[in-house]
Amino acid sequence: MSAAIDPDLVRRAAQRDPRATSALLTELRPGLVRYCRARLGRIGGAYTTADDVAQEVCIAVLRALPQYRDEGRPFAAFVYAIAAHKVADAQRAAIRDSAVTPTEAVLDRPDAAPGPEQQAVATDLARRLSALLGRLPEAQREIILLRVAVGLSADEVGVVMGMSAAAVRVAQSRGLARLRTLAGSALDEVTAA
Amino acid sequence: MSTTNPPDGLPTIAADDALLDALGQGTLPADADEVAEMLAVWRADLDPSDEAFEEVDTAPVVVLKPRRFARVIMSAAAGAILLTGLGVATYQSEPGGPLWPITEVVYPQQAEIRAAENAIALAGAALTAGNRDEAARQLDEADAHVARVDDEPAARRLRGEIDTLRKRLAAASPSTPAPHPSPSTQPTPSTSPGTAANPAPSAPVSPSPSPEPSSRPGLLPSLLPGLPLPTLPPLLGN
Repeated sequence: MSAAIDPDLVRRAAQRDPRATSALLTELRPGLVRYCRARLGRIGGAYTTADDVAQEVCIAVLRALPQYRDEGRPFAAFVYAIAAHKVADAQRAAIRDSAVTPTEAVLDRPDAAPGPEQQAVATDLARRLSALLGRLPEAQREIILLRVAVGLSADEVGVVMGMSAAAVRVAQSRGLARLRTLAGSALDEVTAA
Repeated sequence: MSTTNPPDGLPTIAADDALLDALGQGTLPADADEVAEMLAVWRADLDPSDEAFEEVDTAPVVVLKPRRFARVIMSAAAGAILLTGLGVATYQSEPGGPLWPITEVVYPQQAEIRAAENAIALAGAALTAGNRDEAARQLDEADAHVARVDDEPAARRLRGEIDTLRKRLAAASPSTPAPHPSPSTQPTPSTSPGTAANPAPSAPVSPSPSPEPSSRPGLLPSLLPGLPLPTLPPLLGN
């Protein structure tokens, strides 16, 4: 589902072909849901808000589709530029309302209602990784997020981020190295505590 | 493992790139380190896994450590199922509902039918409440939506419902003529615009009662269309 979207499918969807639109949405949605969840985290312990934002992104993409012109840029760049805007809007709204604490603070908090043990362990691992990602420079974090959570290729990420694929590869390696370092020290902290 | 050297060497960059490619596909290479495992778990956690119903066999994932990462497969399958669920929910969404904007785009035909049904229901409610203007407005809107429905049986059903409501609307109308008269055009005596002198005698309007049409249906059928004739002669006299 992360392979480059068929340009023909995009073109037909842009012309309001209902089946193409539906197929396109089916391809896009999982990545968008993961992207919004990764960016926004569990707000109030659940992904509800993130999923709502993903839904808004889907609608925004469909609405903007007729204006999309294939100019050699991957379609993913078009989609994730919209997604980044929507997520930023949601974050600003959250800060403005101050009803929601920032993502990292939520992630550091212990789960109030843990499910079955395995689920809890997995969630805890994911949560820890989220916290580690929060300590990366913003560009590295976004690159790893787009590469792993969404599943975009280095080339696609390069277009989304406005940098060369080679620069993406260097930055992602630096990000991974940083994560490895952080994970090592974080583990030490956990075992020492 | 936690070396502090920045891994800018080409082999590391290529290996990291391959690792991220694999993780991005929801898979984990056999020689993955701890951070890679955490990334894989993190990605699986991001997958919409809440709606796990059925058909768990659609996971397009190659997982090298199946036991540990069965969860990844499950999540991918659940993601596919969620999509199906959303598709159905979108298909069945109602005007004004949270999924309606998507329905309008993805299922335009279904959206027209839903919108027509919605307008018909509102017209019925308005009629019941005695608000005839609103009912007429909603029925016009329903007509507009039905005109865009390609599915002929559905369109026929909707037109039937609209007709029924139009009849109720006409019946509920006080004194004012029915907004949608039936095509049986009865020429009214008011077709005398120039003659102010003599109002046409209203007597001819009630012509001779047709003599028992049921008696001899087979004989002389051509006589029946002659009914409107009596209204003509007095007008021409001027």
